[in-house]
Amino acid sequence: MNPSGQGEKSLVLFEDYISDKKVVIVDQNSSARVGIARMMANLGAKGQNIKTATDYESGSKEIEITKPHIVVCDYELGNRSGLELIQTLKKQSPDYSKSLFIMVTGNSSQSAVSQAAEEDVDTFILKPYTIEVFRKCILKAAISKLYPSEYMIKIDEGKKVLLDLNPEAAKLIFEEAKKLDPKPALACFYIGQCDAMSKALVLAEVSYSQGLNFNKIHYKCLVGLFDLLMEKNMIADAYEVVKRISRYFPANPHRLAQVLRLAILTKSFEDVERYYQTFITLDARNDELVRYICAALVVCGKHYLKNNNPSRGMELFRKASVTGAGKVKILREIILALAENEMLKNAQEFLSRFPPEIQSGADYQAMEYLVNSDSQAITLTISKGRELISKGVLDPIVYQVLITKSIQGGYAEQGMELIQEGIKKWPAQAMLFEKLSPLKN
Amino acid sequence: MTNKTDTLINASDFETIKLKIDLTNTTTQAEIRDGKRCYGSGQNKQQKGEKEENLQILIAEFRDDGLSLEIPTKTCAQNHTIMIKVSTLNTNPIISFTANLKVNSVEKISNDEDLIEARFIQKNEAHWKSIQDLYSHRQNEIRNFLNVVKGYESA
Repeated sequence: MNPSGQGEKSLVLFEDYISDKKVVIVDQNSSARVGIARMMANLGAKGQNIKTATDYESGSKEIEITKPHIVVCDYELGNRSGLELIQTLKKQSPDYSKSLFIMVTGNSSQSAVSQAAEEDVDTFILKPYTIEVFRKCILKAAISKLYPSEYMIKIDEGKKVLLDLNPEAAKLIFEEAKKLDPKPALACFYIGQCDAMSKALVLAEVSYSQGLNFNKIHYKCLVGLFDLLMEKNMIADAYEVVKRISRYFPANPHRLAQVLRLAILTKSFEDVERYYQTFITLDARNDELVRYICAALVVCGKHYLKNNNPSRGMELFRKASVTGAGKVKILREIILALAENEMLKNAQEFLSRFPPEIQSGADYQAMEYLVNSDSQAITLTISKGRELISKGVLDPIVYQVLITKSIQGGYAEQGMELIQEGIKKWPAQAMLFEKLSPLKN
Repeated sequence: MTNKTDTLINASDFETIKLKIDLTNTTTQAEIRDGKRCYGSGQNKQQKGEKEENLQILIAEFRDDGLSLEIPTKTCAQNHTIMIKVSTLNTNPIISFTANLKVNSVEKISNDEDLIEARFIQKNEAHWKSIQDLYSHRQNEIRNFLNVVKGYESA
């Protein structure tokens, strides 16, 4: 059987396959559901075996009820991704190795395709399509899956054994698979997976590297190597690998968060600033990415403050606060960093960025108290601190400022009492409170 | 697989092909232009204070002899003649395509939308091919990429 799946023979084989198979189509757009249902019927699916759903929730339910072999869905299903339905299909399908998950979407972005590829969709069809393209894509994907090469049959056999958590037996199968292809990078990847599962990390690295010798940008081997280096805490090497992945493969938003974290850990602060420049050009930014970018900018800002470059630090703090759009945690971190570096005057700017609806809350009041603590008389600061505590603003920062000012103002005994209170309330910060004691200084 | 410059976030990775489609019903002179309904001489009949329209026209399917289009409801009927102007917004170069079509069928798919099948009466062949090639090229890129990621093929 020619695995390329073209021509009449493929069509006949596919018609035979699909004739008794259940199909679920999930798309918010009714014309898409109608069109795809027609296409599937033209390809041989029976009308009564084709079910449709309009969103993620109803799609998920339909898959659970129908237990289809074939799912066709859009990438965007409201605030959920159609890719999440792959997991549902894996659980519900009678035989997942003979199932098809087909993405049909108007989203042609590399980012969407990259995510779909990593989730192992069988094919990705772009809207608008022609009948011919639709048919070709499905036939090709189906025939490859239903009539795989000897090499892929061995790989699938090994994958099943690996899923049963038997890496030693799986490894033997993958070693046999290696003999069936002139460039068996995929088999090398799975051997690496077996070694990693058996905690033979050195062997795993050798296997991934061997795979990369066959194909120097084999995606799975690169990702396997990256995961391995992260597990071994070889952060700098992992960062180099992930940069290599991204040089050749389009960005996956989920990996971007990892990349930012690695950039910080490897102190590649200039990289972070470059990522930010690109980030601000994106139309769609998911919450996770926003949080990581803001956090990365704040860490970079702190670095520059510590290294006597306050203006650069302030610039990055401003970017973080604008990007975070009033996120309290980000503003708080910035103000605390400035306080630590004796730049409370500059912190006023960030205090004003708290959204109005937050300003009656404890976070704002605590930060306001901190920011104003050096610019007003000690007695006023002490009185304000006591007022906040009696109002129920129980924030460690309020306590710490009040303790410091109480001791400075000659109220050492009250200060010591507050230290004990602080330690009781926030035991994780005990050392910080103890440092404030006049006995320590 | 193209090499990229040394940046981990490439803004173009997140862009999808964007089309602007305007439609004129040459039988009734009604238009949908820039997302708004216009009636004769390009007059927008939207009243002051009414919620601003943002009507969408989408190409659902490329057919050999025409197109399937999703359009706002009550835009045209069977046997009407329509003219469409399609432009890409974010490709380089920008591709534009104009065609006259006859509406073969109208199917109501929701309260606000109809799905029409329309047959070409007149079109610019070169521009039509350019639009089709754009999507066909992208589809091929996607297919190749999927195979590379799955490890079936070398990049």
